[in-house]
Amino acid sequence: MSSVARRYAKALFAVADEEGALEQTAAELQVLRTLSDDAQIAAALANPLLSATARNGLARTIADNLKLSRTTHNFLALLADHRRLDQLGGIAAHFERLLDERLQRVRATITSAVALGDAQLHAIVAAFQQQLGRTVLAETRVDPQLLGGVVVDVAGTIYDGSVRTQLHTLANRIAGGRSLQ
Amino acid sequence: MKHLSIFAFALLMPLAAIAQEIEEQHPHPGVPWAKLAFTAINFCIFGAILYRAAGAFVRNSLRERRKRIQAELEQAERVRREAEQLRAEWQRRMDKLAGELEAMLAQARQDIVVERDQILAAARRTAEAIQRDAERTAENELRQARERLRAEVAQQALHIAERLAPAQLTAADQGRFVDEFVSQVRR
Repeated sequence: MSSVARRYAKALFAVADEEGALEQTAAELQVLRTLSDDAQIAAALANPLLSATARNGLARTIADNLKLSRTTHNFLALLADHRRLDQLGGIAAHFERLLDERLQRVRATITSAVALGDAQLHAIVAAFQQQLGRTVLAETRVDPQLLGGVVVDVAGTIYDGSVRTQLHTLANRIAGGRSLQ
Repeated sequence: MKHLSIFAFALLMPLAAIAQEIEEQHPHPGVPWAKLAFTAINFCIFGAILYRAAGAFVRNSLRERRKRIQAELEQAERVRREAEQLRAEWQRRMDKLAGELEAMLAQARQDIVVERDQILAAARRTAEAIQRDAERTAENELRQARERLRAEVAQQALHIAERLAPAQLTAADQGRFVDEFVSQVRR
């Protein structure tokens, strides 16, 4: 994430905070982020040959089609004017981070060997909320290679309770510390 | 003395002539005593003249020769004494040399024994070092083989467990894993 994206995200965050539209702006940014993830759209947004008129037209078209709020619309026009439309993904990510900090939230990716039941997911989320003192926004994934158990990634910190890792740990212990393939 | 010699020399020829004349005037058979007497006198005169003329030279020559022989004898005696001293010196040296040779031989034998002991000690140390290295190498190889075997066993066990786990683990097991994970997070 570039420093440019961070600066734009902070500026938008300040404006949205004043207007009390942090959640709405964050949601709209996520939509724009999803849009910019598309290769063709990303290429169009980053095209340096586009004229100012064409860039503003592109921004207006996107805002109109997605029915964006006035704040997000103006911000998109500003990015188009400053040739920063290619920074949309980074801006959205940093805005989300700022919002999570404001709302005392943390995002967690919970990966399990088989799909978790609601009770299990709730127990895991509750455990981390209790441990971290923050609201946990969980995203779940299934990876059969874990064999069993779960792996939770909380803001880059890995909590590994998978059977695969336990088996590897046990095998390494049997091997006397020698690393295994 | 010189005049006497000249006088005697002057008498030689006339006396010889007189003796010849008497013999010719009075020949007789038998021994010619007169001629013999004059011959003897002539011989004596000749001897006296010869003694007077060459006696000093002969005496000097004989004296010089005696001195030379005496000097040569003394030189020979000196050389003989020096040779004797040299022989005695060499004899002493030979006697001493025998002792020194014996001492050198004894020292050499002692040095050989010391050197032999040193060589044997060094060889023993080398052999011990080689043996230690060999033992260490063998221990290392044994330990490495043991570790490789353990790793191989662990690897095989891991593969078997990974292959069997999906079929063996039930939903209850998965639930238990999650419960254990949650309790560890809460801890």
